[in-house]
Amino acid sequence: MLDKNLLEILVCPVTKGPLIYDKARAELISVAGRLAYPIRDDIPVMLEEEARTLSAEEAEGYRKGGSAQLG
Amino acid sequence: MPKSTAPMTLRESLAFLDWVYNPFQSRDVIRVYDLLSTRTPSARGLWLNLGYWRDANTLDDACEAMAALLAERAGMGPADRVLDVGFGFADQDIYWTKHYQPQSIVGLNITASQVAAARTRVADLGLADRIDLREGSATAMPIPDASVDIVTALECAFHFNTREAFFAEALRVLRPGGRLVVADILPMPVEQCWVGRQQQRLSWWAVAAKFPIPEANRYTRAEYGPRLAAQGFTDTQVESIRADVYAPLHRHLAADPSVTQRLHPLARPPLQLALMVSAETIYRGLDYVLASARKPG
Repeated sequence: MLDKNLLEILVCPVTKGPLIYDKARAELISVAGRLAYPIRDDIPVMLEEEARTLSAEEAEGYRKGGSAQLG
Repeated sequence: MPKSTAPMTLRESLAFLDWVYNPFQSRDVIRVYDLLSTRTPSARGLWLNLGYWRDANTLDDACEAMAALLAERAGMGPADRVLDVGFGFADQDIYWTKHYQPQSIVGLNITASQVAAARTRVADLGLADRIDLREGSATAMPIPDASVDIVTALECAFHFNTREAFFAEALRVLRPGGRLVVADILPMPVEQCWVGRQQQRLSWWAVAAKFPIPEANRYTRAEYGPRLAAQGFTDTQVESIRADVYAPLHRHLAADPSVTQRLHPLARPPLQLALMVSAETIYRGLDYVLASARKPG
């Protein structure tokens, strides 16, 4: 459970760009940074060293369908 | 109250012992605070700061007074969106929400165990809609540009790698006219006499070794303001409040055995030993400053 207001005040700590909330995977996606930040026990972990690197295909998928993924 | 009363496991105790007695190891910040966990010596709350003792008689009052000092310096009020970095167990955020009612407080902390414990406390107090705590770094903030009115760092900026990277990020996320307020630990300006210098070095080294402090953050109060200004801040004010921090804390700990009783048994002997030495000697190398600055505009 992560509300939208919270998402509005979060950015990628690396690129300072917007994030996409992938509800199914419980991740916050930075398309520009090609990084996926985990959400553990409802706590977004906004640390680069904890983030998963996205493959080119994954990043492209989010780029295309990005706004549809917003939870 | 999530204060831990469970006995430490053997592994934890050994790690604690290693941290207290072994001067040749160094731990990273996350491991130190994970280890200390919720075993803080304060009686109510889980305060981790050293306290501001001008008008206080107990550790908790002094910790609250330190939080109040930062809020007053920031001119905190109902219109403010506050970003608190290195929030510990969020005691100051709870205190500020009750006494200064800022619009919102967002907290960043890299120690996962503190974030989880602090979020539970905030939720139990029904303040989850006012205080939003998450895992994030003060030197790479997940916060948009110009989106907060006040940035606070209560006794933690000396850990940041580096403090100046934090200044740069604080400037970015503050709105024009926004304020930065920091309570920070620094080395004292070097004394002339040889004995004094040795005591200073030992005193600084004891702290820097136990609580990891990057070498880049080792400069005195005279340099603090210029380094803030170099990042683009204006109206910089840096004052030493060390006389109202270290010596009165030391006197309090020496006079009130109940404080040391609340520490883990393994941590008591070194503290008791330290309390037999005068505050002037133990803290000779340590400065404590209240610093503030404003983003132009």
